[in-house]
Amino acid sequence: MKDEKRTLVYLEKREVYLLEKFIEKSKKGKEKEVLREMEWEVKDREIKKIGAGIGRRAFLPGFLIILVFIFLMSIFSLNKRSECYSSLPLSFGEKKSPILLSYFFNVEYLELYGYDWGFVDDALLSKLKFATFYISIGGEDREKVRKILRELLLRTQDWRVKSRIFHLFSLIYYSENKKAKALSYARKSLSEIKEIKGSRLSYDPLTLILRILFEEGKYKDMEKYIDISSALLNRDFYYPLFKYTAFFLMEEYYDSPYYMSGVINQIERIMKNFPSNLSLSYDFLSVLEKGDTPIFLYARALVYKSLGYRERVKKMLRAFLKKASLNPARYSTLIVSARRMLNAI
Amino acid sequence: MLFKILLWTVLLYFPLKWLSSLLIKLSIEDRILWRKIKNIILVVFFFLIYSMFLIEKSPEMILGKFVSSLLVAVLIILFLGRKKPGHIEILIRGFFITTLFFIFLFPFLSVGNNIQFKYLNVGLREEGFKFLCVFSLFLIGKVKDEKDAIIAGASVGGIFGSLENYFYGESFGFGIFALRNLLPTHIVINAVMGYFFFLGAKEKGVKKLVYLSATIAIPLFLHWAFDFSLQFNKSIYPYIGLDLLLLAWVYMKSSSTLASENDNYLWTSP
Repeated sequence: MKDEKRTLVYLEKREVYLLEKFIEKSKKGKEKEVLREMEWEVKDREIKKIGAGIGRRAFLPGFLIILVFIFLMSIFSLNKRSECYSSLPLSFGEKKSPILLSYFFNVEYLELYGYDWGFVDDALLSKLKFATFYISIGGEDREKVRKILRELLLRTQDWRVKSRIFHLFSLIYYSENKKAKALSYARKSLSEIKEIKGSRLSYDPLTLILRILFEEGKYKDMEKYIDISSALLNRDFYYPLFKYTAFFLMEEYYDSPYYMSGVINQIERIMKNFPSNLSLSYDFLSVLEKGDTPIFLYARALVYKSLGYRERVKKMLRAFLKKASLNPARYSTLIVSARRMLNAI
Repeated sequence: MLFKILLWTVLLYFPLKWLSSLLIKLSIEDRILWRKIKNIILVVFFFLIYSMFLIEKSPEMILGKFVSSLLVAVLIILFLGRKKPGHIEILIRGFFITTLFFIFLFPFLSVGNNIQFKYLNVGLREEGFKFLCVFSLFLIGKVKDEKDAIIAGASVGGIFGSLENYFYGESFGFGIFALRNLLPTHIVINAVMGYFFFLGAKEKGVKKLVYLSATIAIPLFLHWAFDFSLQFNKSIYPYIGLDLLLLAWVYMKSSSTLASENDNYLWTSP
């Protein structure tokens, strides 16, 4: 009753307002505007009545249908659901972020755990996860892992899973110091990936190939893979760590200023694109602390700058200038920019 | 980040304003529409920022893909519902509701990998989600007759499909993105769903039960057929035929000139 009274009062007010407006406008000879508005008012009310009526009638059946959907879902995913949720990674790789954040903002999570894998069943996926985990912690019983991987190879037809399995094989052989076999498996896993330039799965085998070729001193063979990787680098911002490994490998033997400027450009580009991403910059630092060449020092200075450590930036730049002065022709552009940075601080 | 968002608001303001003015010209209910368009702009930004976090790519790439996939869906829905002025408003409402629900329920949609119930499970999740959107359009009171119900379903399906295509395009490349855009699968499935749900809400007795069970069963079956036909290279062709046939049926239903119950006072143009 109260609601009805309220609506009646509202409607009366509204009608009085419209009448007043009508009288006002009629003095100026613009009755039509108000008339149109009044027509709309009537039509709106009628439409609202019908719509609300159907909405009310639809409420119970719709609610029941939602319940049916929930019931069916719970039947079809009851057995596996707990497994799915328990496999949520607390931390992935070197990044340590809380569950929820990694769940929402980590593409790696989506790709490895269910999103990009296409039609893989849970048992297969869990075995694959076990194999990657076992290899990553450096487990000794490699025959066991190889057995599992061979089984999986027979069972799958998915190219993504196949390439991943080949990559795991190559990792095992690499850890056993059988580099030729590791190389052939890494190449196989690359060839399984249909669009090498688009797929993120190609990062790992590419880095492995580059590393092996570099260790064996086959610099000319590296060029082909470097071209592929540099095409990837220009497209994708998400795997900066990969960029580092690839570019630092190059830096060791390439004297040409082209690659030199490439490294610095990449770093600057990444720092510009992710100025507020703290975990990324700490990841960089963990990689950068492994090397002591001038380029590493300069990169470290850049990252410290983005993090806001002034004194460390100064320290790094001075160390860089010391080391770079041994070969000033090579680092000429970097020396100039480093001096500028020092003056600015 | 804040600077980026500000920059993109400034850059996008004029094209969006132009687009909204075009929409207003198309529709007659211009008074109400302007408010809705403001909501749309908000939702676009919300989605943009969300996907920038999720995929960490430049906004122009995200917008390009998202908008292009959305345009196809919107064109198909406008083609279906061009004869009634209120349909554009339903489309806009559907956009608002579906995108918001998608943002919050996205993780729920993407989990689930067991092979034995794969098709049914994915179909259930997606259809349940889309039914939630259609149902909320009903509850708001925007649906008045069968045509409205069809357009409500089609708009929810189209927008959900374009969101899904966008994510597919991110991970599978341009070819699959374009192919999925051209197939009006979600639109057709949900138009059927909306139609039967309206009839189920309206009728009484045994008919009600039949229609309501059809709202669950038919979309699920169609979705299952689509997922199943994607498994094999050549089995997609019969499904495309089925899709087009259903689209024709939906078009017939949504644009028939036969007067329905409420037509007398809804259709007279001012």
